[in-house]
Amino acid sequence: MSPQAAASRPLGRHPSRRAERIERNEQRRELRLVERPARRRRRVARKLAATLVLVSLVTVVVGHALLAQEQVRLSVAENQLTTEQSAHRQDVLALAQRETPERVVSQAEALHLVTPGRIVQVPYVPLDVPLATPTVAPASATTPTTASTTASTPTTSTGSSGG
Amino acid sequence: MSPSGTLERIGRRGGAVDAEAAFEGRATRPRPGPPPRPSPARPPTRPSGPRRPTAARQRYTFGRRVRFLRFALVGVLLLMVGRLVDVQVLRSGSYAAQGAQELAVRVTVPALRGGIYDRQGKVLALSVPTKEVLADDFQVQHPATEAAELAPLLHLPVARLTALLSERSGYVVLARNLAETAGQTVAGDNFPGITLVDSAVRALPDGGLASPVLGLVNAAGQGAAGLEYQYNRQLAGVAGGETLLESPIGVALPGTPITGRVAARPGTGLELSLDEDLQYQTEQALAAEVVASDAVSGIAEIMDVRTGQILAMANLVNNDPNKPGAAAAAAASAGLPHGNAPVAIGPDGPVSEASSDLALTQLYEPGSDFKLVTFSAALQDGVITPNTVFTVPDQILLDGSIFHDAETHPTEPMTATQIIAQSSNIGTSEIAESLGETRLLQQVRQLGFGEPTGLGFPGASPGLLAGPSQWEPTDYVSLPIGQVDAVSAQQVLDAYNAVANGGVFVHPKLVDASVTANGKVTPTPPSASKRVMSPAVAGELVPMLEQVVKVGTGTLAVIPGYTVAGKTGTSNIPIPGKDAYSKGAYMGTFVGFAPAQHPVFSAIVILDRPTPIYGGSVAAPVFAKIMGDALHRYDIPSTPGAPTDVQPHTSLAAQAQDVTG
Repeated sequence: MSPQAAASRPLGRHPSRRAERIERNEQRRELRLVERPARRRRRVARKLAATLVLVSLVTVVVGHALLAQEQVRLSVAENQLTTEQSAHRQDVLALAQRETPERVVSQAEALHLVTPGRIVQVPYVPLDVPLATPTVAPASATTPTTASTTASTPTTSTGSSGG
Repeated sequence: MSPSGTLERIGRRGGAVDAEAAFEGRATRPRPGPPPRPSPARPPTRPSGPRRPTAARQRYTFGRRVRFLRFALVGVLLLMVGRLVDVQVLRSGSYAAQGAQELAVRVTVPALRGGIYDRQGKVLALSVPTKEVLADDFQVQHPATEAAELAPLLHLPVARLTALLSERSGYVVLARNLAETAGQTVAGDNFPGITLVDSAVRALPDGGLASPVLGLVNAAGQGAAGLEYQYNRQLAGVAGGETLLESPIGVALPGTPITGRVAARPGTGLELSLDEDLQYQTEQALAAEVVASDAVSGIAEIMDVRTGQILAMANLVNNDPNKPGAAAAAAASAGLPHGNAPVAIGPDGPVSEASSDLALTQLYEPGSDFKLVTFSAALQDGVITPNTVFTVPDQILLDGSIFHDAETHPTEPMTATQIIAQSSNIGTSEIAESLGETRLLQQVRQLGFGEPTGLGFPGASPGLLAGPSQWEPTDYVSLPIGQVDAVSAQQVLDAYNAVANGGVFVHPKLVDASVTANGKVTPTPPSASKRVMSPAVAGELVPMLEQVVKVGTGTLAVIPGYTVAGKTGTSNIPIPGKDAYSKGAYMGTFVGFAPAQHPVFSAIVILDRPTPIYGGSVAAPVFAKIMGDALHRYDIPSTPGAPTDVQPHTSLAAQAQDVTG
C-alpha cells in the first residue's frame, strides 16, 4: 500500500494505530535491500584476489625489468673486471720483462758498469772477539802522556784518557 | 535408382501416391480418383533381382554414413588433440629441449693457466688473456671496406686482410693473441662476420731462462714438457663454459641470452725454489765455458744443502758442436768475447737451452765423482781412516784388463786422503777390494743411485746400475771409478749434498709452494730426508774433499774467502750398444760444496766433450764462479783463514790426474 492511499483514507477509529502504521510505513521507506554477508564476502574476496593478481603481475614485471637491468649491469661489470684483470696481467708481465737479469745487465752496460773480473774477499773478522785497540802514537814531548794501551790485550781497551 | 519403380510399388498397394511426397519420405494417403486404367502391357523395365532400398532405408544408410563420418572426424580430431596435448603438454619439455639443442652451442671458456714464479715471486712464466679474431667470410659483404677498418685494430696490412676476408672458406683466423683491450674495441665495432674467441698466451719474460726446467705449453694450452707437463692439472685450472644460441650456419642469434654460464676456475701457480738472478748467472757462466771449451752441452746446478731446494739448474747445448771453435767464433763475431760479457743464449747465439732437463734426464758414467761411494763405505765400516796408508802402483792387471792411474808414477805409499785428492784409480780399487762386492753395491743404493730423485720430473731417469748377478772381477776397479753405472747429475749432487749435510740425504726440491689466483701461497711439505752415513764419517770426508781443492785435482774450484770441498771427474763416454768407449770423448765434471766446514750450498758442473777434457780445468772454474755468486748473493759469511785473494791459475798437473779411462 502506498503512503498516499493510506493518507486519503478517512481517519479511523484508532488514530494511534494509524499513526503507528504511518510511522511503520515511513520506517519501511527507510529500508533498503542488503546483500547477504556471504555474498559480500565473496565479492570482496574476488576483488581482493583480482587486485592481488594485478599487483603480483605488476610486481613480477617490475622485478623482471629490475633483474634484467641488474644482469646487464653485472655483465658490464664482469666485462670491466675481465678487462682490468687482463690489464693487470699485462702490467705484471711488463714489469717482469723490465726486471729480467738480462735487461738489468744490458742497462748496466749502457751505463758503463762492468762485472768485476774477480772479487777480493775482505779478511774474516770474528765478531765475538773484541777488536784490538789501535796503538796510539805518543804525543809530543811537551804534552804530558797519561796512558797508553797495548794492542795485544783487548782487556786494556778501556783506552787512554789522555788528550 | 529411378523413381518410377517406387511409384509402381506404391500404386500397387492402394492407388496413386504422391510421388514427390513419397520421395521426400512424407506419409501419404492414397487419393481417391478414377479407377485405375488397365495398364498397357509393357515389357518389364528390368529383370527381377535384389530389391532396391527404400527411402527409409536410404535415409537410414545416409544418416549412418553421416554419423560414421562425424565419428571419424571426431576421432581424427581427438587424435589430433591427443597428439597436441602430448606435444604441447606431456612432452613439451623434451621437445623444447630438442629444439633448443639444435640451436644451442656450448662454448668452452678457457681457464687462465697458473703462473710460475721463482723463490722471490718473480715471474718466470705467465698466461695473459688474449683474443683470437675469427671471420666467417661468407658473411662479409664488403671485404675491402671491412679490411680497411680492421687493419689498424689488428695491426695487419689491409691487402692481407682483404685476401683473408675473400677466401670463401667460412673460417678464417685473422689474428691470434690480440690484447684484450684491442679485442674489446674490435668487438664493440660489431663487424659483420667477425667473432672474437677467448684465448691466452704463455709469456716467458726471461725468454728461455730455465726453459728445460719449466718445460713448454703446446698450442692447445696444455703442458707438454717439464714442470708445465708435470703440474699440468694444477696449472691448467678448470675450464668454464656458456651456452649460446646459433643459427645452423653458426651465426649467433642476436638478442638471445647466454645461458648455463659456468665460470672458469683459474689454475694454481707454482713458486719454484729457483732464484731467477742466480739462474741467469749460472747459465751465463756455463754458456761461457761451453763456448770456450767447445763442449757439446753443459749442466750446472746449485742446491741448498739443508733443504734440498734447487736454486739454479742450467742445461745448455752448443748450437754447432761439430765445428771445433764454431761457438767461440760465433760468440766473438757477435761481440761477445769469452769473459765478463754476457753470452747470447738462444737459437741466434752460440748456445741454446737444452730441449730437456739434462740434469735429470741424461745419464752418464760418473767417473771419479763415484769414488765417494767407496770412501764413504770404507770410512763407515772402519776399513780406512783418512790417514790409512796404501801402497799404490800406477797400474794393475786384473782379469786380463789393465787399469791405470791418469798419470804414471812409481809405486808409492799414499794415504786415503791423498788417494782421493789425487784421484788415484788404483788406490781406490784397493780400498774397494777390502770392502767387498756386496757392501759396495749396498752403498751405491744407500747414496740414492738407481732410485728416483723424488722430484717426479717427466723423463727423469733413476739410472742404470749393475746388479750382483752382473758383477765381474774387474768391477772392483770399474765400479769405484764410476765406469759401471750410469747416473744422472742430480743423483751425484744428492750424494755429495748428503756429505755436506752431515750424512743426511735430502731429496731435491723444485717446487716450494702453490700460488692460487688470488695470491694465497701454500708451501709444499719439506723434502724427505734420511741418514745415509754417520756424522763422523761425513765429518771425515769433508777435509778429504777439501784437499782435492787445496792440493789435488780441483784447485781451480777455489773461491776467495771460502773453503771449498769437492771432487773432479773426467769420465769416458760409452758407445751406445757397444762394450767400448768413444775415443777422445769425455765428460768433465766437478761436484762439491762450500763453505767446506759449514756448507750452505752444493753444486755440480758437467761439460760434455769439452776441450780440454779435464773436469778440473773446465768444470771446476765454472763451479767456483757459480758457487761464489751464490755465496755472495746470500751473504754467506766468509771462512776464517781461507785465502782471500786467489789468483786464477791453470795447473796442468792437476788437470791430468782424474781421468778414469
